[in-house]
Amino acid sequence: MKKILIVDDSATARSFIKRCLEIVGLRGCDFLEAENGLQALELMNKNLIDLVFTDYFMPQMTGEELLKKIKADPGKSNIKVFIISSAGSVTKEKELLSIGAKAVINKPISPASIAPFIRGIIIE
Amino acid sequence: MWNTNASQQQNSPEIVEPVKDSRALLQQAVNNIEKMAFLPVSEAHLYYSKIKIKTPIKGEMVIFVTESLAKELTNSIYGLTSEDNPLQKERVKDAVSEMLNIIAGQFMRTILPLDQDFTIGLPITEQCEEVSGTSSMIQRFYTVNNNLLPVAIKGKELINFFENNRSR
Repeated sequence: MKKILIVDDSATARSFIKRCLEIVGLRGCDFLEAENGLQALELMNKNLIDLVFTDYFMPQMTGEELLKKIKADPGKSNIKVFIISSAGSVTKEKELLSIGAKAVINKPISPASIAPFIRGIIIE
Repeated sequence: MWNTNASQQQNSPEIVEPVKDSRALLQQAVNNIEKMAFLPVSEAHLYYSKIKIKTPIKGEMVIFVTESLAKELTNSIYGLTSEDNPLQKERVKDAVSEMLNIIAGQFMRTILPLDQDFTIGLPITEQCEEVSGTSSMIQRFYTVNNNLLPVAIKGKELINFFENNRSR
């Protein structure tokens, strides 16, 4: 069973992301939630996480900083990280992809907007 | 910067001298709609949310959502029905914040070139019955037949009189 970590300071956003992922075929996965990057790293130290869906703008640590920390840690660098952001430009998207983000998805997300990024993962 | 004056009316003691209470005066004035159009007027309970636009342009975006609409939207986002457990105020505030976050992000993406980075702050949401935009405007909210009716008082002199009258 895949372990999916959703990181967002908004409980509403976490709930909505989870619903979208379930709708597009990740129902039955083990979902974990974190309110910020620090909490996310703690959860990653205690659990073998397969996928991370993280907001970009969060208090304490941005999604970009979290991504960098994940990719810099050999024990975590294989985790697929998706950035979900309400504030993404094409330039920022390229930058995030270049430092290891699997995809950058603009808010508001929907099952339709998230599905293309998830298709490969469901098959794996 | 917008300031809210949240939920004071509910906690205030019964008005014994209505003529000295400027809120009551305003309410009294708005109540004339009831006499004119035979439609019920009441004070609106709103959620007010603001978010700072930080770069490359400075500004702020604000939304007002009636309590009933905020609850309806929250239920819808969470996939709940109104028969489910009553919504926690914090959950409704969080949902309103997230909505504004998305609106602001989309707005900035729309007005800026595709390759232009931008930063926005974290949304702040609270309940309110009144907002003061600048020192020269106060806005209070009513509902008439379940529709929102904002009433604004503008002008420093009038605002000062209103504020002084209110504090008596």
